[in-house]
Amino acid sequence: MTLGLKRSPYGDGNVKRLRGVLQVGRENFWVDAPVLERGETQQ
Amino acid sequence: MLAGLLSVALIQDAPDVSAELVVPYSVVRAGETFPVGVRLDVEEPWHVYWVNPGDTGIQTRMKWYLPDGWRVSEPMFPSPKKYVDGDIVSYVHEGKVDFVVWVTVPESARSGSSVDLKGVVSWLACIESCIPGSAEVQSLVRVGRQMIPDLGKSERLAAMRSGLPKRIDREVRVWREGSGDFKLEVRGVSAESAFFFSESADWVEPGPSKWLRSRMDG
Repeated sequence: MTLGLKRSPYGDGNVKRLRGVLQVGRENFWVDAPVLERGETQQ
Repeated sequence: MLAGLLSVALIQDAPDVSAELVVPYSVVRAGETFPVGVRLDVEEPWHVYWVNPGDTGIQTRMKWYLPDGWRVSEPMFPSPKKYVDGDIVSYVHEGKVDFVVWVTVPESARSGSSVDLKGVVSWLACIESCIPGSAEVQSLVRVGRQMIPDLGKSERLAAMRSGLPKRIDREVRVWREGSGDFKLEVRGVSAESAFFFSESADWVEPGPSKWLRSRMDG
């Protein structure tokens, strides 16, 4: 499952980790994940 | 904004919002850290706001007044709901809203003493208009040689904690695209819809997540 999230117009854009609640159907999950650099996303 | 809120207060009654502390122990021990529930009961159809209120609103806050050495964590918020009004997307709570904080008893706490756990919860309650409010919460806690649960309140707290978001047990990857927008991938999950509530307004726009694809991919 992949979501596209639009960057906020606030803040300086320097986001090292993304934290928040992912709602999938009726379930809610706490997400705390590092923001990978482009080179780190290759499998 | 204050003038606007005051004029609203003159024409609309404040909603009935009550606050309560749920301490799951009748006796606590020096050096221990334990969870405490804070319940807000918000009159329908009003709502209060999550840690990131979204496009409008103000985060629900807590301030604690404790003896030296006692510490309270930042509140863990329950899972929010989306409140959409035209182009405005807010992250809110309605009805019974259960927060959890963690209280640490100092090593120096003397067995046999009692401590007043006291704090103030403040919120902005909105529906068509907004009215700020606050309430004091308080509970007397005894310090002893061992932790003694209050069984009734322990059960209530367990129910309150069930409303907190669960830690995800799947691989999550987040990366940025050239535009600065994010992609959030959860492996091994297929769903017809999903939404991400960013903890900070500085990271992700509160509008709808763009649904890219859903598949079981290991």
